[in-house]
Amino acid sequence: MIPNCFGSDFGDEIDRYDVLTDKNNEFKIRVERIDGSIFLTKGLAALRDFYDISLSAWFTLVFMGLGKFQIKKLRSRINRKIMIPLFVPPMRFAVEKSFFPQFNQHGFPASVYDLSYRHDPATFEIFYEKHITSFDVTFGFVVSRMSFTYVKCYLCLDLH
Amino acid sequence: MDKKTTMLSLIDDCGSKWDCVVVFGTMSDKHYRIGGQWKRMVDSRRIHPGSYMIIGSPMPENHKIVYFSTRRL
Repeated sequence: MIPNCFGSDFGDEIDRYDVLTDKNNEFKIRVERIDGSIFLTKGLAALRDFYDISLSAWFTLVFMGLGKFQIKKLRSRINRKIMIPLFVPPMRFAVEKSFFPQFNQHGFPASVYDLSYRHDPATFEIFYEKHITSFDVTFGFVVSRMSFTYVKCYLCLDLH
Repeated sequence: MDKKTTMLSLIDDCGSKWDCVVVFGTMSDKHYRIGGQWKRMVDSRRIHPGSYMIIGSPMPENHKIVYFSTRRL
């Protein structure tokens, strides 16, 4: 969450999506507003796996204008420096734009915890489970039998 | 999924979108080979062998966009 005082000053420069950048990589994150406060919701969890943050981390966001933030001074919870993984070409995370949550930008969700991104259970009406082998990880592709004949998973209940 | 499908958007549980190339019938029938950004997804999400991937789709007709979430062991 970005605090209210920032949102009142620079909130008009932030659109529905904003971009966090470190030295090379780029994260596109969806912005939702409740009562003037700005919440970065969808796509933010990609930072967790990308920087391998286990507990929590500290970082400074420098506002660059037009919905761009730069990530600086990335430190773990015990003030250790977090190494930025190197990807060539640099990683650009994108979010899917077709999905919109139940509440809109001016509505109030039931709780703030609804803001944290999760899959809609309706997207798992037809499901298929794949065991990831070392073959799938080391080579650049996965071979899968995606027939989608299994209907109505009960597992989608405990996905959250 | 249609046999003529060539592009597939995988949406992971962070909401990130990965554009993957799909080739049908490489090893044997009824198998799909998903390439493209798959390798970058595995590296950036730090997926290790042994974890499970649950693939889901909202509608029976449209499989251009496929949702998945991973569970680590």
